[in-house]
Amino acid sequence: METSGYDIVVVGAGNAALCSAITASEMGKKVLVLEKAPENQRGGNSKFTRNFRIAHEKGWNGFTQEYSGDEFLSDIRKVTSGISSSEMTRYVVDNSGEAVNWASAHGTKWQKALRSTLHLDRTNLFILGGGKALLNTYFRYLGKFRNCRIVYDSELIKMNVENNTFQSLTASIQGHNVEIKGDAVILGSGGFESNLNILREAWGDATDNFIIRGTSQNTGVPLMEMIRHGAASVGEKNDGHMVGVDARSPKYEGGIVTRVDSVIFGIVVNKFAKRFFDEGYDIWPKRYAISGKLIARQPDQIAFSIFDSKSWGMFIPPLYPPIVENSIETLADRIGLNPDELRKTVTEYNAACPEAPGFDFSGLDGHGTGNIEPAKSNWARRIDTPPFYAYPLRPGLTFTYFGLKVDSQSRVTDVSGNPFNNIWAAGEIMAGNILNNGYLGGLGMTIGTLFGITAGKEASS
Amino acid sequence: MSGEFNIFSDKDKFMEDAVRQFTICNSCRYCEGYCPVWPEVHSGNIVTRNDVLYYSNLCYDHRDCYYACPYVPGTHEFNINIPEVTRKIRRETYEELTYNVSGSPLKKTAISLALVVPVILGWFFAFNNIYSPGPVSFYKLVPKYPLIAVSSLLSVYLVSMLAVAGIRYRKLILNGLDNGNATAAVLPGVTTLLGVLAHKWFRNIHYPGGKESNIRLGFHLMIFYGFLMALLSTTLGFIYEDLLGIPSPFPFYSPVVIAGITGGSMLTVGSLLGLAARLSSRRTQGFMTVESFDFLLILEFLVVALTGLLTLLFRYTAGTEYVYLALLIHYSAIYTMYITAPFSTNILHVVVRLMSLNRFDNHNIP
Ligand SMILES: Cc1cc2nc3c(=O)[nH]c(=O)nc-3n(C[C@H](O)[C@H](O)[C@H](O)COP(=O)(O)OP(=O)(O)OC[C@H]3O[C@@H](n4cnc5c(N)ncnc54)[C@H](O)[C@@H]3O)c2cc1C
Repeated sequence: METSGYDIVVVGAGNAALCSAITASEMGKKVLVLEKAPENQRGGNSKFTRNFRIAHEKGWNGFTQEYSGDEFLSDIRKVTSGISSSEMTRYVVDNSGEAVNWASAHGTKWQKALRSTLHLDRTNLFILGGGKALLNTYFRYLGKFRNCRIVYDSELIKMNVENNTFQSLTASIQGHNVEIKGDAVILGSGGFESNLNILREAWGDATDNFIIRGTSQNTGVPLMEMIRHGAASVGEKNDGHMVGVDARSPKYEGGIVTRVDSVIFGIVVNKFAKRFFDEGYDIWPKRYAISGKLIARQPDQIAFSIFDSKSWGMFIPPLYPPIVENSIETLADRIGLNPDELRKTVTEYNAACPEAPGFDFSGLDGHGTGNIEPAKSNWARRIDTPPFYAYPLRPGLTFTYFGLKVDSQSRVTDVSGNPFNNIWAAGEIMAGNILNNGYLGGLGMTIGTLFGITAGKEASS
Repeated sequence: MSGEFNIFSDKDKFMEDAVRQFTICNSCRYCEGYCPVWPEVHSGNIVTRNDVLYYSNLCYDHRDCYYACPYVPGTHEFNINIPEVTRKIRRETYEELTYNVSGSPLKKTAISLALVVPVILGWFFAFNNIYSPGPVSFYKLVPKYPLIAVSSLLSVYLVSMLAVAGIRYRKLILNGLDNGNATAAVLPGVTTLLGVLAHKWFRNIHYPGGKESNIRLGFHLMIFYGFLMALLSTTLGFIYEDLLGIPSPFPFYSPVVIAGITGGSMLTVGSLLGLAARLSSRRTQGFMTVESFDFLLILEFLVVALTGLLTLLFRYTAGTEYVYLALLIHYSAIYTMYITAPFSTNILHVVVRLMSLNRFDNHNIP
């Protein structure tokens, strides 16, 4: 393979990288795509995704209700405590529909919101078949360009940058180190969620009990290489999107199926059988994105979602069977908790539940507990009808927020605020510019697509 | 209710794994919009073995789910390969529905040839008056009433065998599903029939290679409608001759002949395409074997269609002997086809698929 003469080297082959590679190829540039994974495992975290969040009018792409840009923006503000870059955030919101149009124009097909994902059917457009199907379409399309070459099993291990200018990079291609030169580079290599060493720096031994929901490939080498070369960063290393996942899941790549949706239907206790957060807190996306972090701060990073037969069947069942017993005490025994403690916690919780719960999952039902610490502010319903169910939970890390600071053209900037001349970043690696400490479901794909296209265009012109 | 269905009872591990795979699918749901299987999987909370049998018989083998899945063998420890699971189960279902009589294609052929050839030869010698004066008439080969009698008998046999398979499928699988009342009607509803006629679920199948194509739609349409045309030709012939009193043979512009030629040609091309596609799919998709395809029946289709066409062709071009020879092979092939049909996956799937789709349509009324 040629090691020089490329107009653009794209690092990674997830959604953002492919959007860049396609854009640059369409503009006639000579493109090299380096994908760390072998061909049959290509596609990073993007292959596990299911939808895009977009602002839209009623009737657009089959939506039955409007989701206005203002509402979208205010949802982002809610989850990011307001410190996100407002110019870029506004750009994402205003152009979100374009991300979907672009994906459609490049062969992506869509489907109605999946069953039991009702809380997303107004705001998110679902990919037919999910992220891997979308990527397959992009790969097939890219295959038609003779000016674009994809090499697999090719990991960027070193960036050579001088005077804020990319010179070359070293890649380990099927185990051999190769120096590759190009006029520009686009980093679409994701966060560092698969890098247990960096995670350990931020989280200590708790890392041992983390489950990495997505790819095992995203070790953040390109990101850290740029930091080494003086790039400015956004976000904190100990910040990431973490949800409660089934403790029995594989360490990596469990994907969507490991998530446990039962949390709001009952209580969550730690290894001492004590509740530790408001299970009925606030809107769905926000609570969803914090439950994992709360578990990460509990002893041994283990927790149990406990509910009763009234709730079984009300949520998408996780891949592993629930633990089911006819009494709270035997359930406690089965999951290794102190039966008296669990009984006590359930009794206290039940006593604090309102008399007539009027349970309504379709929205915040306002049926909270009375005097109890911590309170459960919605969907408080007694756990009193056997059999009783439990799911063991671990923190499931979806992705990390720490990333490269970019300008509005998606160009990487250095610590003194100057852009690197020919280095762009797109996707998760720079999503922290928009979402530095929170997340809204479906934004990752929208951001990756928009900035992937931008980076591809800018690097080509 | 469903308890007795002992498909895979000795293959417990396989069924256990099939349930495991579908359970993972049910917690993912990304494939929901692909085909009828997924809304059905996602409508339940837990997956049972009985459910899996039904899903498998609803599956068209589009393989969209396989290509979209991040958990496929060789890339992920979850080892999900739904098309592989459903294909094996369909095969077993057909065996079970026919009391495992089907056996190997070779056995089937032997049995049916043994049954058919002597009968045909017997007729040939018994009623050998093809050289008697007068125009070419098919009834000179086999006289009318024996012909009608045997055809009727075989039709009754075929229909009852298929009815038995249908009743067993309903009893052993469909009735055991949750929401059993969605099984309801014995006869397929209008929606289902229209869908089948339009080949609603046949678009963009990953077949015969890994890419989406409409090749299967093409040959299935040709075999499906070619078969109906051939049937129409036979029926028209009967109506003309026995109800309207117009004696055969019919001129080539008669609807009987036109339907016959069209049907025969469609069947021929469709069968050849189908055979070719199967052979090439074996090469391009290593993980899919060809076992679910009944080569024998397709060959029979082909022989029936070709000899039917030749009979017509020879009538206008060649000597009488050739006409009768082609006709003789034609008859033999038809009877062989009749006898083997109830054991053929290709025929059984008509019944099982129709009933599954009907259950799906009843269950998913918009
Ligand atoms: C289970 C799950 C479900 C999700 N669902 C959604 C959803 O529905 N909607 C949504 O918007 N977001 C979702 N997300 C988040 C989403 O996955 C990310 O926001 C998005 O995929 C990021 O895309 P990307 O292209 O930046 O990174 P990735 O898709 O992760 O791609 C990174 C690429 O870089 C490669 N790479 C990494 N390091 C190197 C290296 N050193 N050299 C060469 N190549 C390298 C990787 O192999 C990979 O190909 C989900 C995440 C997970 C884990």
